[in-house]
Amino acid sequence: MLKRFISLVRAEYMFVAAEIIRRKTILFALILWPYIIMAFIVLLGSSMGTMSYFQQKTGANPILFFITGSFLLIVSLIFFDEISSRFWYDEFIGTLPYIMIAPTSKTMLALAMGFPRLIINILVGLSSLIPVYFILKSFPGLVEALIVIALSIFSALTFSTLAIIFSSLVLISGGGWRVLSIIRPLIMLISGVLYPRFLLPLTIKFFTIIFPLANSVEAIQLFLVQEGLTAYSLMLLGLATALALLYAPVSIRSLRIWEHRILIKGAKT
Amino acid sequence: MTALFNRLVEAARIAWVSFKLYTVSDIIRGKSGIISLAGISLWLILIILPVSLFANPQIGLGRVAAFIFGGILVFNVYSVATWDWAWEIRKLINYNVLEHLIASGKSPLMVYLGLIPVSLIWLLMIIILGYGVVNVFVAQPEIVISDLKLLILAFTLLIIVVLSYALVLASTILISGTSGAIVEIFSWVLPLATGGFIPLSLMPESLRTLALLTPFSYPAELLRKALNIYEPILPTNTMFIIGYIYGLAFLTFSITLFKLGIRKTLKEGLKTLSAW
Amino acid sequence: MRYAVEAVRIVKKYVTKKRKGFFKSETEVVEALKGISFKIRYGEVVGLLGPNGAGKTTTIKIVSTLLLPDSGKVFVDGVEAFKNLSYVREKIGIMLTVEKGFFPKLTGRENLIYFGTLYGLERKLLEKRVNYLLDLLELKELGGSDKLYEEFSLGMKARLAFARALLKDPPIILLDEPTLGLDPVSARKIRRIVKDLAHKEGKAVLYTTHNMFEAEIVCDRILLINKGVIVSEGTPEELKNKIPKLKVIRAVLHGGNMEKLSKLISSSLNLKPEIKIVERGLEVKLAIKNPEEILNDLLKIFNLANVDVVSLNIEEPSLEDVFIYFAKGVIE
Ligand SMILES: Nc1ncnc2c1ncn2[C@@H]1O[C@H](COP(=O)(O)OP(=O)(O)O)[C@@H](O)[C@H]1O
Ligand SMILES: [Mg+2]
Repeated sequence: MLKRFISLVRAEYMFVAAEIIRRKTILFALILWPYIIMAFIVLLGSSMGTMSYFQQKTGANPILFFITGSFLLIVSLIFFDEISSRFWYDEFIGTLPYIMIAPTSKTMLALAMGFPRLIINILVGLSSLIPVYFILKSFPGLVEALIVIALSIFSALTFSTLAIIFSSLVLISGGGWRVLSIIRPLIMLISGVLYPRFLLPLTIKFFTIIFPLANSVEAIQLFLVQEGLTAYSLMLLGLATALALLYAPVSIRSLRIWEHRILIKGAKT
Repeated sequence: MTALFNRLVEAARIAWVSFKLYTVSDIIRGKSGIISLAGISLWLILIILPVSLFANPQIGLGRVAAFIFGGILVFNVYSVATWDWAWEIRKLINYNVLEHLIASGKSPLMVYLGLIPVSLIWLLMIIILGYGVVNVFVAQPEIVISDLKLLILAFTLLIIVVLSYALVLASTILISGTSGAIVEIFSWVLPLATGGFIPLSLMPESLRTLALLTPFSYPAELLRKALNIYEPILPTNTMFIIGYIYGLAFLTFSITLFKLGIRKTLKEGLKTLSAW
Repeated sequence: MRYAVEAVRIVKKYVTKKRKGFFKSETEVVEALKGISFKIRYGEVVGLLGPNGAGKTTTIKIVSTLLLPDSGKVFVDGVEAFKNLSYVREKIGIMLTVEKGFFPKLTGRENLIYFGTLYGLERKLLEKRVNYLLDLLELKELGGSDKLYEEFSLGMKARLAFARALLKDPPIILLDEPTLGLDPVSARKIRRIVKDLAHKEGKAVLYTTHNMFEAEIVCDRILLINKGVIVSEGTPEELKNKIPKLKVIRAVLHGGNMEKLSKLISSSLNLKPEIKIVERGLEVKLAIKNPEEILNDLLKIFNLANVDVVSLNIEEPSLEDVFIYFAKGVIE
């Protein structure tokens, strides 16, 4: 089973590599992206006020906070993006029927789809977090950056099962990228990646508890502020893991429902 | 003379047909345009909201909100240009429509004229969306329309400038065959560097000069003036005159470039664009 | 005996919304398959021959477990297909279209490797198999193994799609109009391989086409399908023996009344004519074995009905005609 999974990841990797390596601008953009978002926010912020006001309000260094946030922004959505857009794209270019008849579990395939991106994004994490953390905090910063990258990957993984559910819903709704384009920023908005959760309106804040990503992201942000993992942040990470496991059976089921829908409708050729 | 007149009538007809087509296919049936723009607008809000955390706690939240809303406003216009207008070319290519258009001897530019009114309706909707989110997350923006005539003229200028910008981007899609990454990076960096969000008076000296060298800064400054968000860096009249001259020149340039792009595709054939 | 494919009274209806103006829409039900049954043995190529919209693609999709029938059963290799999805999917290879269904930014080889992995082939074996297929279909010579799919010609796309159907070396192969629009060289290549697969390797092939000539040269047995019904079946020889006996009289008339003509012809000649309005007047079509025998009577009827004969021809029946007359029970 593991062997099967790894071979699927390898096949998926070929697909991602072909897109990314053949179009180097994409790789370039990917590496630049966290810096751009961070610079964007910090520059705008500084023109509007000062960095120290930010530190005063959140307890975190804005540069660290936003380079981490922008990295999280990319990593967190990997599974959701890959699964929903890939299956949708498959339908669009007519590869879906050939994928449907593969005697492979679609859940396994869905998870495999996310992995190559995840690996590429570790590189993005290294290229974005390491230099910034090192400049601001020298050697201890290196270790911190590695821990943050590891936590971010963990965070993305805990979101993967819910991401499969969301993706199935998107696919079932037939709304394609339209639903996607609304849902993606909304996920980011309520998971507190750039605008911390404690600032959200109370009702939204309450709702985010069942959202693994919001919990793990808060743990990472607390790690930045307190420079370590407290019992509370461990609790948040645990909560995220528990939620991920809780959603797992539902995610398998939801992909099956989508598959069944296609069987009734007939896969487009 | 009559030839020119005939061409204008022809152009108006294509524009009108395209307008009807977009109204039916996008607004009534597809709703795709407005939804994707709303999505982009949400991203924008996501990234601009944290800016409020940098504000001096002494400043009233209403002012902070006004500032943020002003930024969202200008950015939304930019997104329409980059995502809606520039990508229209991509869609035309993918649906194999562009080739038919070119083959029929009609200029794809006319299609754009029909697209603009539809986009303006969407623009209004996402501006309202932005206002709503800022209201919920930060505070009610303190804005006043201090000069309606100026507001309309400034907005028109902004549209002229971003339309030209869209044509330039569309031309790069035509000429290079790629777009995604380039469009993305430029669509974010450009407004930042050119005063889309930050009033020029608050910018560092060097950036300010750079901003004034682009046509983008003028309408943004005038718009902020008209909404009473911030005073422009030069006298309003001066900004207005330079802005309009520059804007129209930019438009001429972009149309020329676009025609060049079309000619290039005629020579080399269209490329299939990638998924991302 | 275990059949490769056995379809039992398959019914499939599509429900679609029809746009009426901007906002209104009404649902429309298309009965694509009206309870068709057939069997395919190992070692034979069975053709599903029918005009556009007959239900060929729908049949292929149902047999390949890509579409649920409303009722009826499909057995593949002896087991019920929709209850044993993974078993059945191991056994079949499919080709649904000629020109789509691959990743445009991957090369031919990469695309095959991708799908092979999905189909569960072990890496080493897969690479061997891909090489073999690229050779077999002459894709290497055409440069297809290392060219991006988007740069393929239609013939190469078809060859690659055919190669994918063979990736698993499946015992059952389902091909939906595999030569549609292809250059003669590619089409011949694919037909040749199809026949070899069935006759030399004992594979079962379901081959759809709307081309009578093609069905005749590729298939061991042909199912004639029209409007969701299998109207006749047999070897090409058997079918040919039924068809050539028929000729079609096509007359174009000026003036006259459709119903009156129809009644006159059916009462006096005991034949059911096809009458429709065409540009130049009324077109009357009659299928009959010996047209010469009734020609005189027919002209008399036209005279009686007070119509001018614009043109009158005796023709070989087209495929469409054959279907129409099969459906009406004129033949058999
Ligand atoms: N997805 C679908 N939705 C609605 N109607 C369909 C769909 N697919 C096929 N049909 C209809 O079903 C009938 C049979 O189609 P098909 O099986 O594709 O025929 P063939 O492959 O023989 O040309 C046609 O009338 C067609 O219009
Ligand atoms: Mg078909």
